[in-house]
Amino acid sequence: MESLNIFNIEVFKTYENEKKLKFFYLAVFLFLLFLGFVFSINIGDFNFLFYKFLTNKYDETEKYVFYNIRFLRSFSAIIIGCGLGLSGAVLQAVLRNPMASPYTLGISQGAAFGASFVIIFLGGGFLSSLGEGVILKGYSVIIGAFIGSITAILIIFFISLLKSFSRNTIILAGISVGAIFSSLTMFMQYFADDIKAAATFFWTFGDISKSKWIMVYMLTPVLVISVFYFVLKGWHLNLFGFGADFLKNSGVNYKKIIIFSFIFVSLTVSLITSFVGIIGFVGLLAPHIARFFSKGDKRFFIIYSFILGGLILLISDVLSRKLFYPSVIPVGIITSFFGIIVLLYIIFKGYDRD
Amino acid sequence: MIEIKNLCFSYGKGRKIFKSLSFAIKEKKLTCIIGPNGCGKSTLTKIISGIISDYSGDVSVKNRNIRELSFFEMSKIVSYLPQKIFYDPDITVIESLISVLSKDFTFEFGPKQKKQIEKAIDRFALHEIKDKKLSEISGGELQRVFIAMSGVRDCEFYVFDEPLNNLDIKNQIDIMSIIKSFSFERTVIAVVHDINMALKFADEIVFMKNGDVLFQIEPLKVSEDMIKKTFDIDCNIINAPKNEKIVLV
Repeated sequence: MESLNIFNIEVFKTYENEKKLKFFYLAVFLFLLFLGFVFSINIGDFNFLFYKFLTNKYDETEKYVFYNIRFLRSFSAIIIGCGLGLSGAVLQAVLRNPMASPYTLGISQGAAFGASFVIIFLGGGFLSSLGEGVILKGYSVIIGAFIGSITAILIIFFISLLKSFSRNTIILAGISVGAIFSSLTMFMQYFADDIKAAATFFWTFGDISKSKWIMVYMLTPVLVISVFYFVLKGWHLNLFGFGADFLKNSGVNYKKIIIFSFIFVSLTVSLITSFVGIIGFVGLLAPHIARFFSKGDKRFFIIYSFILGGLILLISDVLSRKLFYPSVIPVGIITSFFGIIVLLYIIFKGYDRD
Repeated sequence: MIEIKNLCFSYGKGRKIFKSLSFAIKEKKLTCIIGPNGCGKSTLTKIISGIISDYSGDVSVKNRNIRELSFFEMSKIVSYLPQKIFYDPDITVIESLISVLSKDFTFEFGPKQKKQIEKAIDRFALHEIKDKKLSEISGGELQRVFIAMSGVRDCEFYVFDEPLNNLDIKNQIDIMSIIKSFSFERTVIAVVHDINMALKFADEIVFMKNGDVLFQIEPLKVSEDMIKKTFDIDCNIINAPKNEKIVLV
């Protein structure tokens, strides 16, 4: 018995060492995110704003630029990216599908359709004449986006979990769902009057400059609660990977996790889409980089996807402001471009090991 | 004891699997279920494990009707290994075992779970592969990991649906020996396709056909006629040393 115990001390050694390494990666990602944030605030026509902010040496104009333009934009980029990254990670874990993301499953398109419907038919918002994008009247647009996204998610859920189709079928279904919602949105735009159509057309390319403080206030608590929830449920998310039959006998309340994840994804995606439009592929890109570092441990997969999503969108936003300076291109174009490259990589790597 | 009374079940409006099945499985024994494809073996294991619940009739485990048990209580009594199991290629063997034992809202495992995992790694001889990813190990090792994931749980009943799938003869014997060792303290039900494996290891063999139990018998009493009736094949049974029987087809 004594000798057995000595032998067993080694059992968790490699696991513990790997865990330390994963905490180190976490620290590195957080540091990079902070660096990116400072860098993103500083670039532009007013230089070194962050330094001035720290030393409190700024005039009124600089203060306005700092809080309402640079800080808002950079912080929005981070939380939108975090939200999309986390949504992608949760969908991939729950649906056991490495190609799942809010964009590839048509959830973003569903949200855009719901929001457009409310604007065009119910008068839920209008296009600002000052170029600030869409001004929302109340919360009706967000509710419309939520209904649209939850509809998309339920279609996907029905196909993947109830009918237990293969992974490829789910993605094909997601592309179809996205295409249907996109065409319905275009159909409405075609018949809507110019101002309303323009208001909804703005969303085709996601643009972080349209973000508002109200979105930050609404999205941040959702994200904070969710990231804690999913990290603490990380081991249970691991069990989703072994298939439905194993999961059902494991004693895990998987229905609760599925319902929570669907509500979280719908809420996050509809909030993001209502304000800044469709930003594709961040939800696909972040989990793939995260998986490379987290390996099979879903706790780290969740938190890495969250942070890397923010980092990716922050970098993309900086690129969108710098690449064709002085003109600024919508960030959705940048993320789609890099996202497609990653999607091709996934296809060539042959990730589908069903 | 697992008691099944008047079990009726069909998938949707289609094929009727069980018309009225009644039989009992003894405790602390290894019961092997054999029978032709589509006879309802897998469905039966799913019903016993609480995966399928839209059946009529009664299934009771230790004199408790499983309809009255929550999914959580059920998971404490019956540990089930499905026939088809998927896996995340990146997860390691030890992480798989931790996942199975993880509790609600805990970031890490406790000393009790740690002991259980250490014991399982010893019992299933996983020391050499414990830190490898599931995509890096062989089919036999993978099957051993899956059995360990089922066995690491502290349950009274273990239900294995075709644990010997796609394994070579050495691995089949290894896995069956492990399963057999389980049945000294716990009740084990295993669906197998190889009659000889059932004859060698089982305490009792259940012959199923068309959703019905034809025979429930000790291995030594199995006759050629029973196999003929179950599978519609002719065969010879020869007596081997050590009081064993071998079926030649």
